[in-house]
Amino acid sequence: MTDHSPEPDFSTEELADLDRFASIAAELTESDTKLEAPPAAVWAGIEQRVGASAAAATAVATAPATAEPAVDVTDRVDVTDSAVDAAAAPDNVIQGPWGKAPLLLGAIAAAVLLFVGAYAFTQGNAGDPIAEVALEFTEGPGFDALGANSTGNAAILDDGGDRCLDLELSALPEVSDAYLEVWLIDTNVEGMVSLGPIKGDGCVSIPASVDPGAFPVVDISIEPADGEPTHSGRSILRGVLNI
Amino acid sequence: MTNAPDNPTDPAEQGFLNGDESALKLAYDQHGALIYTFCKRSVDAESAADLTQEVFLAAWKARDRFDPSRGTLAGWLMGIAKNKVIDLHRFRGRRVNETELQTELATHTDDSNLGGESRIELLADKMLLNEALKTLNPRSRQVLELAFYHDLTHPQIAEKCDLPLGTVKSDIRRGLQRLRTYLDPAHD
Repeated sequence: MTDHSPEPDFSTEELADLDRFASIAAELTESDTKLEAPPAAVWAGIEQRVGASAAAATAVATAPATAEPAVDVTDRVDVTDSAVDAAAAPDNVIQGPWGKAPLLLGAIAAAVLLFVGAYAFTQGNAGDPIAEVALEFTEGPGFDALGANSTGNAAILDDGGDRCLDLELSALPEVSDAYLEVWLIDTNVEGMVSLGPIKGDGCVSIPASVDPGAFPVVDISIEPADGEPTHSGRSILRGVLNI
Repeated sequence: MTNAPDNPTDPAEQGFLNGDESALKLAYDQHGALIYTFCKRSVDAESAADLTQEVFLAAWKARDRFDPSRGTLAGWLMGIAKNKVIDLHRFRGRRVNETELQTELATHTDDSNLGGESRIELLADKMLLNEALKTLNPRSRQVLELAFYHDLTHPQIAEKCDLPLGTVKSDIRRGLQRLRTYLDPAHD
């Protein structure tokens, strides 16, 4: 048959592609065409990990204005991509000291990146806090809804070299078979220091060997009395000190 | 080379571009089985589930690098999956799922000299080729299949399908373009 159509002949490149695809097609078997749906847990995991980042982004977007920002809020970095990156990157799901709370990591990592620089930082006069931050509840992974109404403020005070974390907390949840614990966490979310159980307001001693500048995330969690020393992953309040 | 797909705008692809989180679900619904099946045929089932999760999370994280004018979302996701599977194999220092490999070798003795990574590339290509063929209209698909599987010349195809030769050629040309958007995504 003669081709009288205006359709041009195939180029060398097209002929090469035709050969290449034909050789792949020649290998195609029926088993290659059968697809298996992934288990439901796969999507659940994706949703959870993307959700953790979204929660962190929301936390930043709704950061309370109670503490006077030392840095203008317009100086904050763009939250969305960093937050998603931080939580979506598999590397952020670190096990180790977090034990039960890997999910928390993404949320904190993202929040840390973004909160830093956003809060008041005063220093100088004796009696003034070295650093101070409003603590807030954020709905989402890593937070326990029992803390939904809780609010608070944390300040590092220095009394002649003895430092303590002064907590003013309100609407704390009633927890049975559990207690509240305050933590300082580092910005890489690789380490944390427990400052111990708390019942409410007070100035919790910071060990001299602990540099709050290295652990600027203040986190208050609900800890079941299960003898497990790791963070439960059930936070109620959190803030990042600019120190 | 321009790989612009001639199919209408895909909502999942468009959503990826806009950072719309519902697009991730859409992309998963459309391509989750493809990616999971590919992973499961390359590694063990448990790792396959983990890898599938990581593929979609990595894709979402890197979504600003997705460019639909350079290839389809399926092709892009498969590229990510392929890299993750190969990384895992290298990490483990061995070919995983030997049963699968043996089955493959038994079916295609020509593959006997293929290393694990070549086998993974071929599996990805085969599965993408099949996906791409499914998106063609029935006539174009039949024309391409006759060319691929039955080794017919273009005039023979024209005669068999009772189509003008020009139509056969344009169907093949369009089919090649579509296949490239799946198998040759020109992303970073």
